[in-house]
Amino acid sequence: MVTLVTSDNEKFNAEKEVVERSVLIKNMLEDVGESDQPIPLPMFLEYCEHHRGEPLPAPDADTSQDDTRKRTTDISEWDQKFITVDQEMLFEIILAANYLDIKSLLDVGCKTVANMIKGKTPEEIRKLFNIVNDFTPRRRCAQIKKENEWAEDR
Amino acid sequence: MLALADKDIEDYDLEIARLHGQIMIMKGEKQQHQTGRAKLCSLLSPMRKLPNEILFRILQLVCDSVENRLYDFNDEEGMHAIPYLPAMAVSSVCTRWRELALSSPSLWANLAVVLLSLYGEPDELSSMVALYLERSGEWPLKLSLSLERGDELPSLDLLLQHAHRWETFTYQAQDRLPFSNKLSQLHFPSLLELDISRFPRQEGSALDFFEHAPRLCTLASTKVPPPNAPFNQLKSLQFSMRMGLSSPTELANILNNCPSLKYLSIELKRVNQEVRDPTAQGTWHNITSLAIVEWSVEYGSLPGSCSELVFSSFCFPSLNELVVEGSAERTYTTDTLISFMTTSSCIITTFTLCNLPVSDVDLIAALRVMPSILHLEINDCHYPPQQSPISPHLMSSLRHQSTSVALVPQLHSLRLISKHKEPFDDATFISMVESRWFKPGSDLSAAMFSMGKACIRSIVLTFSWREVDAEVYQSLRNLDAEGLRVVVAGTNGVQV
Repeated sequence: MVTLVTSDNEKFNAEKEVVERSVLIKNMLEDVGESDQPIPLPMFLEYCEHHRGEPLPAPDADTSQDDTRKRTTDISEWDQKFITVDQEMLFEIILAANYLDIKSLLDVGCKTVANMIKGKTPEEIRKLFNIVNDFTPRRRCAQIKKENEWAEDR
Repeated sequence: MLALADKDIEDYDLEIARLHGQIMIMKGEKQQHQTGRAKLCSLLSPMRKLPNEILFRILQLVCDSVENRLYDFNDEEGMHAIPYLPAMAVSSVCTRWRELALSSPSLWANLAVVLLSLYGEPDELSSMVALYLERSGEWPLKLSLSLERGDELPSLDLLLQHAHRWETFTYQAQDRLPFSNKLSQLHFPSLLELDISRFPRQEGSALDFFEHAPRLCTLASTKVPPPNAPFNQLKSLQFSMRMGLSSPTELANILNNCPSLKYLSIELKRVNQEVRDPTAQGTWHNITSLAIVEWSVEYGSLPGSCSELVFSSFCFPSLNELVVEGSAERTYTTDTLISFMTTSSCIITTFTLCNLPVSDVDLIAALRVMPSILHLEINDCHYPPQQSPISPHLMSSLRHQSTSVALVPQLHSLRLISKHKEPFDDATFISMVESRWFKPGSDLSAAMFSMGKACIRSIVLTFSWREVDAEVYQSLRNLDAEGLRVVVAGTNGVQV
């Protein structure tokens, strides 16, 4: 068993097999060895527990050309259920998955955000994510308007 | 008195004008505060917290999954086309996104060009194609091209100049156009995937144009490829031949010429010779994945099916993934599948049965010869309820018994998609799932493992025409809390 401590000092016990889905923790455990020393990290036990035993993605899974099937934004039903959270939590999950190096969870988070963006206009994207249109009024704005004119005229 | 009143009115006018000026100033100040507030709010936006490498990953997913669609016709409904140009859309959001998009050529490399108008190509179209080609730098292109006519078009000439970096190419044309002949004079050193399954049937194979594609490994075609096709290097082959084969031997010859083939997908509408053709039989050791789209096939005068042709003629010892789907009009039987499994001696780990009217008894018999299945998916959406294999009998058979040998004992994930209200039995289904779940690390888990029975890890049950009673599935919710991935959804949404 490994003890995980959250930033607000809450402790969780988890099996090594579960938490080793995080490459960061796996490396930390290898470096530290057998120890009772608690490891501080945000909690992502639920995801890892539900994906216990799943094969870990290969380090070069994103770039491998052997798999000729197309990269999609499809997400499995359970992962969709897991990631149905408010926007703030969604981005926290993405950041934590990135920090902990949990590739499959990072992938689910990024795909979820990509699906939110797909099919939207720039203005709709700004509104969705509370992004300010900070283009300088003159040159750049005019250039973007010109680029988009053709499409908007269709 | 009158002069005094005029003076008062004049004073009032002056005061009103002063107040108007004050209001204008205050409105301006309010606007400034509102802009400042919006900027402050955006600082709190969770999106801002993402580092550039994650934002890039997200934008890449957006631009990979939706092609940038450039076309030469006007949308009469006045629909905005920006959503069809994801790279353009994401680069117009804010300066950070724009800088990232402009410095990422891969975002601009997924392009679909549709030229259907008979009245010439608008100048703006070739300008846009040029813009995308410029911004994609030297990145490999994913290109889809639909042509109605083949005269000189500036966009096509631009695309041909970049043939050296076409990585995937989907080609759809109404006829053997002059453009097609230009293709045959080119080299495609980067081409990995070619889809010519929508090329006109009356003409020769579009593969003639791709003789010089040394890296081609994925091919989708509606025709039997010509003898000079680059068979040696193909890893994935998809036939979608509604016009059929002249004989099963033809398919055998193609497979004989494909020593590296791993993924095979076949859709046949007709085979002209007898299904059991001894000269067509053979064994192919490299194929690991087989997908068959099932139709009612005519073998001369005999009724049959595409899978009967494949299963009775061929042997794939390394096969681990099998998908059978389609819309056969008659009831599908698994006799040839069972015979094929016996002769191939392959270890199937993934089996998908989609839209085929097969009885539960037949399906159970087939599953008995595939004990190594880890992932099982059954979809009964296109046939009558009485022909659905998703029945109480199947659920009972899938239940782990303490004494007897279970059906598909290694099952890891089960996905059932049903359109029928009846005869689904919730209680039998729940009991089956409970029998296959052992909490990891428990004594029961160890005992079951020693008996060769694996713990199920994922269950998906989806009804397209039926509501799900959340109360009935409470026990599965408890298993989900223990670590089993459970999703049960009906017309009333996801309930577990």
